[in-house]
Amino acid sequence: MKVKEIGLSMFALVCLLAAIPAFGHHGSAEYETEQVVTVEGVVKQFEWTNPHTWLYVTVANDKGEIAEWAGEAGAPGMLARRGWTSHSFKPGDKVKMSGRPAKNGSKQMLISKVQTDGGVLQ
Amino acid sequence: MKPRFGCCTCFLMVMLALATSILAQSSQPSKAHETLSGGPDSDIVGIWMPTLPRRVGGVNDTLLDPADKRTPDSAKVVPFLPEAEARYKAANPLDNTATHCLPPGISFLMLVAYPIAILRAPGRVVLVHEYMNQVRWIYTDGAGHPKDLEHTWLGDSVGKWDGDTLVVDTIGFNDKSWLDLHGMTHSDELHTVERFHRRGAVLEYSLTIEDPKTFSQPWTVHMDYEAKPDWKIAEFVCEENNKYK
Repeated sequence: MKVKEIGLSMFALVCLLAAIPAFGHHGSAEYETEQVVTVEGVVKQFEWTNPHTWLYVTVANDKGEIAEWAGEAGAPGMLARRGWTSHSFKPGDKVKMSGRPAKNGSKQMLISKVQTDGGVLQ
Repeated sequence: MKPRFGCCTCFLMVMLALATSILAQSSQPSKAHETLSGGPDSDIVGIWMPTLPRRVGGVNDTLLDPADKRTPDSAKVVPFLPEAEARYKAANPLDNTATHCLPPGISFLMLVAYPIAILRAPGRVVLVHEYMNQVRWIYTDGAGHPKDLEHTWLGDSVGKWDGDTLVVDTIGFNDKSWLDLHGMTHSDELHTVERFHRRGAVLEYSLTIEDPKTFSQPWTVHMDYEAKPDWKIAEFVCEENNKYK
């Protein structure tokens, strides 16, 4: 079997790895790549579930208008190795949630870190 | 009647002995399987994590997708046939089977950043993937691929030991999965050859992909896995809360 090695293989590895990101279930094509958004609010709900965890945060702006942001994070198994637990957030907790916003303009982000009174999870 | 019954009993005993012998033969491990020339440090059994973030640029935050900022155009470096390249360029990433909690392609499964437990038993090597709770059975009993192969998501894998390197040949894939997340489809003529070789705390891995209906020639990727002896494989029930169905 003739195998195209060396030069191609390095590029091919990058291609395959680039196309198989850590956020494996569905990639992150629906999120912006260069932007980071941060919101502050209180936790409405935390879903410690596969394939991904979800953190819902109620955010009030300067005018008192209320909005709900949904933050998508990794799978519980991987997050647990970085210190997350099913009890990391409970309704009413104050949090600052940062991540890459959805391309479609909805109030949704791919979480990069969450700051709480107890520290930072990322 | 009694003599006739005795004859049948004798016949059955002989057949049972033959069947037992055949079964015992088919589960015989190769010599290399039992004795690793490199000693315990060459044993691929363990829990392994792809070294993906380091190999593609040192991104620490694995929640962020490091890919989008540097994704090369796969069509320029992967030897796609024209039709496959057209499918690749037209694909919607959310059409990936994994998005719908169906099994990913073999390369996707092996390279995605989730740990893999490698187990060995006589005549078998078993890969237990945390990602999607997938399990790969690799038969090392020398029986080879079945003649009448049913096509399946992860295909039929047979392995042999080349010294301390496990060489795995897989055929019999269906054509439903993608080899990556962006639309790298394949046909049911996909054929892969993988090599697993341990060097201390590193598992060296290569994957050669051949599919005459998708690629103009075979091509190979290489990567390393890092030993994670203290890790456990976590549960991953994809259907639990999949919002991308």
